[in-house]
Amino acid sequence: MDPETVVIIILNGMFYALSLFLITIGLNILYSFMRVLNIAHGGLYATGAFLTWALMNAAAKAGYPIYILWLCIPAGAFLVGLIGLVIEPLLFKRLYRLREEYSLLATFGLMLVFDDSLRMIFGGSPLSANQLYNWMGTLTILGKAYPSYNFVIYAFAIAVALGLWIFFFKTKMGRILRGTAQDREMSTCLGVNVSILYTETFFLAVFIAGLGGAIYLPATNAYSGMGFEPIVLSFAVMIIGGLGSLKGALVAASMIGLVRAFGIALIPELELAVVFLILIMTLIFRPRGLFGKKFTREEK
Amino acid sequence: MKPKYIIAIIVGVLLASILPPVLPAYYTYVLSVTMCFAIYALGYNILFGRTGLLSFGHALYLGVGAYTVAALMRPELGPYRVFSMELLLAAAIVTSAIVGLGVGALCIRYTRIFFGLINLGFVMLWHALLLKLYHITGGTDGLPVYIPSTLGITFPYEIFRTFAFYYYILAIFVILTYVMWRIYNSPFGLALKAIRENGVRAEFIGIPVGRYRLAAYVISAIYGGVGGALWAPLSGQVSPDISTWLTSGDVVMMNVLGGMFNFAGPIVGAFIFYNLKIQIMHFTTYWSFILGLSAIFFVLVFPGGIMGWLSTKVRRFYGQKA
Repeated sequence: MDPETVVIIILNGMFYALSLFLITIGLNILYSFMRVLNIAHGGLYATGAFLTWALMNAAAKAGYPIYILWLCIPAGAFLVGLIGLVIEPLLFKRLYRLREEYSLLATFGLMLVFDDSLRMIFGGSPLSANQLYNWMGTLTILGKAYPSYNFVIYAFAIAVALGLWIFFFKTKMGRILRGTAQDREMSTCLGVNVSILYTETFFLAVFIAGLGGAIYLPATNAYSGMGFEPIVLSFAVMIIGGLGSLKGALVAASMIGLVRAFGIALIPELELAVVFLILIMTLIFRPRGLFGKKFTREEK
Repeated sequence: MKPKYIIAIIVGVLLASILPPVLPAYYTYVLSVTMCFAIYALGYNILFGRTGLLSFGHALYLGVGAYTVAALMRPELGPYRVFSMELLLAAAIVTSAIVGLGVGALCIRYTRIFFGLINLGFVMLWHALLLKLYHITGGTDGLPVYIPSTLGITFPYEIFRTFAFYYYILAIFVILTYVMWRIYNSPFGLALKAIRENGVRAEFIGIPVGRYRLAAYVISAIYGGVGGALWAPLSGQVSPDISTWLTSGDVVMMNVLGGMFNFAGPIVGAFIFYNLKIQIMHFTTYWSFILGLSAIFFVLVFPGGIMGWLSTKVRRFYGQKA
């Protein structure tokens, strides 16, 4: 393989990896703070893409200039966040008290509901909104044309990772959140309104998933069932990186993305199998993941 | 077993055996498929409801059983093709037990979400292999399944699918349900319950937790394999779609719907789930929307499932403590 191809494969791998990263962060936040493994996160990711498509399509039809289309991305994600604000008190608040099995099943049901609702509203055929993608044009890397829009995604994902790190480790609210995750009762005693805090955290996690779907829309398509594959791979990323670890999510997502990209290029028969093999290997040899905390006795 | 249960079961089996001549052929077929899923769900529940381990990948064994049958019927095997359903079932039991033993040995070291996700990893690995090794598995098209001989008799296609095989499945279903009942009420089955309630304490009183979990896992794998093996000739075709994490979610739904802490729960759940799915599919393509909603509804309103809810009602009616 010539070096140009390798570079392109790496870039493609990272392109896919970052979408997994954006979903996994939300999953991690929900799992480490609320102990809910949200299967419906894939549905929220898809919803982000579809809502952004609706906004972009409307804006493009109305003939708005290109910068309005850029605004559609955060607007679409915000709408997903609003959906989160509806489903959190209706459904998730009740799940926090239940056993993990039940919340897993309920969010699985919610995922089916999301997927079918999207199909009901937007139809079954893929929808594309590639105005921004075309507008950005291409760059030349080592003599090969490569879409510039992908670099927007790289920069964006790095910004999200940095922003979240600052939020969790450098702001007061981040400290409160981490404290509540450790001891919910104690932070209630210290005057933290845990119920509202959970709603806010849920909004954040869902917003990031929506943003993931929205920012990927110009480069790919919105199609029904688009949430299923990334959510399964995000579980893999979550376990490999370690539950609740931001760094782990980034590293593991890159790993999976690169393995998948090289797998497609080298052994197309087994690209998916390799990803799940890594997951199984991780669980067997290092169940807490690359950057996860050690288990306590009752967690085992 | 109390006499009233025995009478109820005999009446149930008699009723079930007069159904095929009475019902339209299509419903006989639907009932046969339902019983395959009931076997699968019943086996799954010894792991889920009894031992407290949620696996999100048990469609793996459904797939192993079904593909074992399809693989042994392939024309490439020439004179070694197997058509006897009894031999095929035995083969499916062996393969699913071997796979269950191997996968289970790796899985049972974990509980809770890790257990669920490592199983999910395995079923997706299996799914990926089914899709990609198309020389062996037929890829997305899957493999055709021919009519097997039951007890040495080969029936014509229509009679087989809508009549003869129904009784065959019914017999196996009754036998396997009885076996599962014995397992549930054996010391082993009660120990599994203790493990579910508190694994650490169960270990303290001398229950070999790891080995018992593995045994429960293998039993559930075998039931899944038998369910898959019986289902394959009915569908006439096996494809990778039966073994994904989504179909693994179906069996969890069957158990929660019927009631995972009740012996009959998974059977009732499988019947309701599959028939509901078919009925909904008749009038709308958005059946997974309704299934999803009902999963949420059951988790929030009837966490004990239908049988759990019914049994508390019945006990209250007879004035016993719930």
